[in-house]
Amino acid sequence: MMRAEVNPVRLQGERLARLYRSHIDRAFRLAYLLTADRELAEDLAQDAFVRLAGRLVHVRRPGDLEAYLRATVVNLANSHFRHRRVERAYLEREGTVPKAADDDLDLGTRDELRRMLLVLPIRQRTAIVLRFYEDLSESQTAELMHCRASTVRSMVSRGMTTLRAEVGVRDG
Amino acid sequence: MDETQVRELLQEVDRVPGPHPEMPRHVLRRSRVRIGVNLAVTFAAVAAFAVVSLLGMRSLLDASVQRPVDDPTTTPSPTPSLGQELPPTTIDWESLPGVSIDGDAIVDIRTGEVTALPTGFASLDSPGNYSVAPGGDVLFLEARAGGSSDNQIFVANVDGTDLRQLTDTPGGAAAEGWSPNGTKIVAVLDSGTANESGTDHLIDLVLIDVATGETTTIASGQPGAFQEPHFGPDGQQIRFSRYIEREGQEDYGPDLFQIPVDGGDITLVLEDGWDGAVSPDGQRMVFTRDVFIQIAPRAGHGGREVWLAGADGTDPHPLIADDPLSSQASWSPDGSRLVFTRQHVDEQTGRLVDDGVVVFDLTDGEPAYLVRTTGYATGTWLDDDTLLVDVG
Repeated sequence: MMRAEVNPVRLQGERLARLYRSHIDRAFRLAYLLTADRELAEDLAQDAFVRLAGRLVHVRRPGDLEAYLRATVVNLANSHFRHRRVERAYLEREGTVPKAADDDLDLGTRDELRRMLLVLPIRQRTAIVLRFYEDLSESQTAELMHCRASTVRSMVSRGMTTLRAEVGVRDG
Repeated sequence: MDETQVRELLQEVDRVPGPHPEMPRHVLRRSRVRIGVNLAVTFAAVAAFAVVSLLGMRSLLDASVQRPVDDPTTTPSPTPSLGQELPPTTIDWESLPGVSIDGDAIVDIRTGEVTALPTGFASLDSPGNYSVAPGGDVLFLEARAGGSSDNQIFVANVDGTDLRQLTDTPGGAAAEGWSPNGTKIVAVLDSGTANESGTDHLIDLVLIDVATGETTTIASGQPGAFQEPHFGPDGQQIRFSRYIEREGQEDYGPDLFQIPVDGGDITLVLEDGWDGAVSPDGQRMVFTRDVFIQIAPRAGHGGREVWLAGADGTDPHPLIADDPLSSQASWSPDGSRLVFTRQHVDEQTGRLVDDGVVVFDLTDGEPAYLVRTTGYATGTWLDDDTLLVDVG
């Protein structure tokens, strides 16, 4: 029998709110690490939760929610960056290139974390966050990123090289 | 900076002020709309299934009453041709014949004999992604070189002799496919130079002459612009995949394109496909298609399937129905078999489990052999009965 808290027929506002309280913070922090943008991260986390709500009929155990939410946040972040690339290409053709997305300061964040996130291309950043923050295996990370485990290994390796170079520049 | 420091740094995200724990009203409203829409779709699907089932049963009953057993108008089922594999929907993977290996190995699928890779490759740092040339005498592989963490491309005889480094590209190189005559490799090189926006590197789609090492650039682009390039059926086109934005669509995979080997216009081969490899006779193509379903409760959303199509991308159909963790297929030299990577999800833990590489017999339309591995593995054919299995 389906558990009450994930039965969509019985999901009233309070139960949805309880699910939200339990999961939104974790989803937000993952989204932040992928985007380095607090407002965007909050939007992505909320969008992911809305999609999760729509999929509750397929979720059998409360523990499954976290995995679904994680995958949705990653997909939404990728979709965001793909869309931004298309948008940037259009604006470049039109001759109105937007300013770099480095001006959304989050004063509560340590500079080092923010610099580290922004120095990495999105695919390398995603691989490193999933491996070292979410503690996923290479295979699980590859599954979420729709690529090979060897590609994940390569992206993590390249990302680490970039980070070491960044630290070298900063300390040197 | 090492892994531990990176982990500690990532934990700093806990210091970023999080969202308010109370659900905003607009999120509640959108969530309820989503629930309502999904339930409506589910109920509609169930109702449609019930109606179709009832109509089907009615037809069967009518047929059994009205049509004699030896009715000469009854049309027999067509025998599936090579282009119309009709695989079983339930496969007992556990009982497939095969062998187990715990590292890179060469496997004879007739005898089950397992031998180690030639020692020549052991001198390289993290060798992998082997691919044997048409003719079966030489192969390319990737490995780290010069103390860098980036891969470079090497070629060697299949016995490990005459090992040569083909590339020395600042940002690394990845090789995917051989030309039909086995003289060139199509590869992607990371030039290491920043693009205009300074956010990433430019990459080049190139042909490498194996004999001379000469590199010819076909096209350049952003990372991801030329994924898994392979030669097309006539050797005059390069097929590759890339993501193209689709307005209003949330879940989709990369599309498969082609470009002439001497550059020029890029044309679409098929939507939703990557890693497209053409059969040795040039008639068919095997590729991987992303699927966006909940594979298992704890396993996340989305998987990938091995598909077949005509060489021109027409008539795409899955090799095996409902097997959403299969990818990276390659043809045996005689084109009668495929080998592909397979994983599954452990229902209890929700974790991905590596099965190994599956040999699929296209003549019978069934999986025929399983090289079981303890890690993610890929297979390449040394000849029609021998596999080189690379365990990552």
